Amino acid sequence: MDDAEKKLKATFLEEASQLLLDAEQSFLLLESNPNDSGLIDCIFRLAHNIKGSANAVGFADLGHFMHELESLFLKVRNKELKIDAPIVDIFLRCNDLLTVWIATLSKDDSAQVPYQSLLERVREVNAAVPSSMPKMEVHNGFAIFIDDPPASTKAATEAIPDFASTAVLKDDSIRIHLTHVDGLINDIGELVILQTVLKQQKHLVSSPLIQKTIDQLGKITRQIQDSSMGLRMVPLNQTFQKMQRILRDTSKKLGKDVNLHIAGEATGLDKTVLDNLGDPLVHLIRNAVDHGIELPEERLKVGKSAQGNVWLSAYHQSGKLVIEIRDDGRGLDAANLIRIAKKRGVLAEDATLEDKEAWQLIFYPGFSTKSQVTDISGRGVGLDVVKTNIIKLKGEIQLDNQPGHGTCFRIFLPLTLAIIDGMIIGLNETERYVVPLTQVHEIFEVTGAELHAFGREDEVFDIRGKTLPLYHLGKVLGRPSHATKRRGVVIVSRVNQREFAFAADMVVSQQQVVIKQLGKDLKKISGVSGSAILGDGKAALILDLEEIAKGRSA
Amino acid sequence: MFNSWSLKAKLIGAFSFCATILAFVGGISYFRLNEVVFRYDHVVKNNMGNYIAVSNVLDATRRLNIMIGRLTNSNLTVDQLRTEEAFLAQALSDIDAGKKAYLAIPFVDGEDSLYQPVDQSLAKVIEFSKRVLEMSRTNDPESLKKRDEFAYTYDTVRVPYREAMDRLKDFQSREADKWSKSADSAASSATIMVLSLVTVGVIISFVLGLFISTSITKTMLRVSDQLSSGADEVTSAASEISSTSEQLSASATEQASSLQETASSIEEMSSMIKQNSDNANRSSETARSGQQSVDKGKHVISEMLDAMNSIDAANKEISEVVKVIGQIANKTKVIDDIVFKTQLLSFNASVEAARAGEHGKGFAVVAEEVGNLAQMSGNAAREISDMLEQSLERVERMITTSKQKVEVGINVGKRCGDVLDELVVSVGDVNGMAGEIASACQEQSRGINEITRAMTQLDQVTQQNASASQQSASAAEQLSQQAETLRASAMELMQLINGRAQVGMVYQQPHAVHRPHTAAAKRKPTQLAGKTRKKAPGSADGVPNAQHEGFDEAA
Amino acid sequence: MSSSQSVNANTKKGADRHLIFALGSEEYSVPLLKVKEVIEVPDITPVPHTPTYYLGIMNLRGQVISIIDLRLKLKNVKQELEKKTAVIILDFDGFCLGIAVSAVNRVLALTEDEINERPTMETTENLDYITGVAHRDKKLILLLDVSKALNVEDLNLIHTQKTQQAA
Repeated sequence: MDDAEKKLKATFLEEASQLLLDAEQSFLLLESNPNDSGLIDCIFRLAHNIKGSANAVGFADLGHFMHELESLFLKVRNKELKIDAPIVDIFLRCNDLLTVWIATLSKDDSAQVPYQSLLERVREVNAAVPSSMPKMEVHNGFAIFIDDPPASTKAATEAIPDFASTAVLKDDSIRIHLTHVDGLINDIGELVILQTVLKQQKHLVSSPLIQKTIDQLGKITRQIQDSSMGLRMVPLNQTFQKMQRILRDTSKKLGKDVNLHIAGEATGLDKTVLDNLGDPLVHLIRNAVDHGIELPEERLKVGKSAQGNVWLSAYHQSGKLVIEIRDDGRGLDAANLIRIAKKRGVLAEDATLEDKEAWQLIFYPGFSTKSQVTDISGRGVGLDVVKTNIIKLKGEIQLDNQPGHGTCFRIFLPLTLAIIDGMIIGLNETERYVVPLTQVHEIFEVTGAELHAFGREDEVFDIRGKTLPLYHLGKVLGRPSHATKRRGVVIVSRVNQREFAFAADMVVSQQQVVIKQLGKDLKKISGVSGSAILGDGKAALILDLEEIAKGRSA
Repeated sequence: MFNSWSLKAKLIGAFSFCATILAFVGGISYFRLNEVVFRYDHVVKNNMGNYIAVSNVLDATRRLNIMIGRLTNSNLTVDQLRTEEAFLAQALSDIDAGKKAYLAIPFVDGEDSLYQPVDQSLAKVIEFSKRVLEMSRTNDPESLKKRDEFAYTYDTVRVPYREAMDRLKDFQSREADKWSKSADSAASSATIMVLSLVTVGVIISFVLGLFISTSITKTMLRVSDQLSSGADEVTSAASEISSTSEQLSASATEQASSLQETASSIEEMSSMIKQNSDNANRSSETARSGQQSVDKGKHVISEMLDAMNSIDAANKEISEVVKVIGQIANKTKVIDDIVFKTQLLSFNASVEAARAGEHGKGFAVVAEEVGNLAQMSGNAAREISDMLEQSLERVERMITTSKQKVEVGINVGKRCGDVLDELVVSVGDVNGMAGEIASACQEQSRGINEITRAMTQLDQVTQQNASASQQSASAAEQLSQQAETLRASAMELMQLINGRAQVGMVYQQPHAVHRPHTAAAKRKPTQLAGKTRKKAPGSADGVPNAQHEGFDEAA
Repeated sequence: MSSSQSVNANTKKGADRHLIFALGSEEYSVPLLKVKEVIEVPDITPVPHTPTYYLGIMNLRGQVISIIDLRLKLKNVKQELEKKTAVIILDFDGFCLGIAVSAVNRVLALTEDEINERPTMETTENLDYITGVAHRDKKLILLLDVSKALNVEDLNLIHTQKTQQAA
């Protein structure tokens, strides 16, 4: 197998996975609009494309399967087959299979996927419908058109120009690999640093023109940086569409009638964040359908419409992205939660909780209110995983509950993970560290009088009558620092409603920094979440105060 | 008080006192006399005038009586009548005149009451007379008869008039009496007063005259006494002067000779000083030439130091060269740096070339070649820097040694210079001292000159002294003569004062007792004489006298 | 993929290019293709809780890269970073690592004939990272497998240290 062939295959697989995403969206739309010929044409074109390309690059099995599917689509297009839920179901299952198939092939181009059963199902449906199309012999992708030109060629020739024009209209974007974007962002970051150096040396140049140029260069550099950051932004609609599917499957399985309302799907989000957002969302949607929405009879009993509603919306709020998952189900029952918690040993037998505190119980590990373990939810790994994932994304999850009327989860996410607002602090004269501003609650300048010894080694920090455990960052990091003796600063950070104080020598500045992942050799260093490059071009570590506090207090 | 007055004042005072008394007496008499005159005048002018006027009026009225008488029982012709008329008019005018005269004299108390009835009755009388005269103008007998009858009633008019007139007359005579009596008394009192005053004045004047003359005489006597004793003193003093003068003259001669001796020794001193000064000048000249030599020496040394310094400067230049060498070394470091970087570049180029695989092969060779070249130039640079280091060391060593030597040389030269400087200072000191000696000698010779001049002056003065003493001897002679003359004058004065007899007695014993009158007077002159004698040497303060004294002591 | 092919091509011809560097007085080599680039000593930010031979992190044109003092790591020689000290950036399939060496000397193409097997020695020290020796100009060059010398061992070391501490 030569290189060129490999490359061809890789390109095909990449394309195909994108096409499948588009297809899934079309299938879902088709269910609600069975007579939308445009949609059917689109689907047909996609299938045809994949079939052709698959045969061309040598994925014969894939081509074969696609051929059968294409025939089915053709019947739909010719109105020989009526679109209904089972048909769409088949389509979706095919889509799922193809997605898995393509993914498998990307890893190993010779891998096999068990597709036979689904192929049989498709054939069954195909056979059940009287076809005007002649039976096709399938040798390879090109054979279709050679052996059987009249109808399919006609169909193809009809379809292709149509879709070509649609594609031109629709697809005004280009696909760029993330590494390229990251490379660009890196380079631009470097450019910004160089520009900063240039700006600092500006006064050495006497020519006003050069000075002005440097200023303008600075502005443009910032703009470029902003735009480059925007390159990582991906709209949410794909993810949201996936949710529609999840909702449909789940509700069907549970025998519930649920309608999903999507809003704000065009909102952009950093690719990295988005990639890690899928699982939590799936959990939350399933949770809403499974636990929130009642069965239709129940709903009617309490005077609600038989059809339940789930709202999935995204919007910006004060520099953060908010994703809201709301249902009009039964809501959380505080008493029930407490009871279960006590039963599971999550909560002590004699504990009493406020309602709001009780709601938070659902985020505890190993907590599930459903008495039966289903494959949908209730495995007890749901919401605590969700919360952990969100926190990993530097986000936050909030819960709003109206018993009897529904629950609302709100996820607050940073727009990007690549840039954070950081506070640059100094230990001794030269060393600089970055602390994420989100972890800084308050900063105090101290002269030493506010610090008190506590025990043999530990110290506490007195502020406004509160006594907080104090960690000297110098000591924690094993670096020389003079904050213990001389005046310095104390950063108060809030972790899990607890406050901790961290002593450093000084606060240098506050700025946005681009997060650089540390090499794998350093990934797990405790108390360090990453690195950043400061204005002077030096690399600096980004501290994770939370981790430091945890590591110390543990 | 009176004694303190001068003689003139005393005399004038005495005479003025007498004159005052005289004037006082005269004044009193005059006022008294005036009073008397006034009273008599009053009598004459007022009383007598009134009386005369009254008499005149009476006379006129009497004429009226006559006229009436004439008219009665007569028949007058026109001429007669005219005569009568004239008569009447005359009488009337006389009455008027009398009245006027009377009225002209001022009235006294009570006079008016007396005068009024007179006047009224007089007017009636006049009226009556005028009527009678009118009635007389007819030739009618009846009328005439009537007139006659009327004329017979004249007495009714005349009698009251006559009584009034008498009373007035009496009053007037009484007045006159009163005034004349007072005049008499005034006159007699004045006489008594004047007489007594004159008596008092005469007595006072006499006493005063006596007192004054006595006091003046006393003083004059005392003065003349003193004069005569003074003359005695002068005489004796003059004789003393004459003897002293002789002594003086002798010592002056002696002085002159000793002066001569002094002058000669001073001249000798002067010549010695001159010699001294010449020597000092010569030594000063010698010192100056010594200084010049030292200066020359110093100049030479400073030249030497300059030379040393220039060697030092040369050394510094050499150290500049060392610096340049250091800079070169630095540059070779830059070269080193460049070499290092070039090497890195060549490695990176090799890396890239290796990446490029077959295509990069040729480039890899180039990169290696560049690396080798860099290595070579690096080695060369290292060699250069080694060589530079060596030469640097050598040059630095050279500089240090030469620097040390130059330093030693400079030190020696400096010390030499210091010694010469000291020498210059000492020679300068010597020179200065010689100069000082010379100037001191000059000062001395000037002093000697002054002494010589003073000697000459002294000599002259001595000679003058001698002649002056002779002069004073002759003057003493003259003085005693003058004293004699003075005594004669004093005698004369005494004569004038005391009278010839007493003076003559005094004059006859001029050297015996000066004042024979009283014991007190006798003692006074001796005291005076003692005083004078004591005073004589002290009061002599003229130059000749001082010399005289000085020489006296010296002799 | 293509790079591995070209390496193969070179190997076939028997001359593989090596970057020769010095650690103290000894000469070592790494395959030139493992080298990303060679740079001067950059500004290095120290990282807490790391072994002494771990110098820290640096900024290589926007990429944060760890630097290890190979002199200290392999020779246990504490040497100051100086002007002549060079840092070789190695590329292990996209993961970059810098190593500080005493000096980078030259690039050599070593034929297979020149490369000898590592002499087996009775020693407790693990010398697996030396893949072979070569003689050139009467000098011995030790062929180094840096991924063995550093990667496996070091990364694990850091990992375990941290996880132990965190635990």
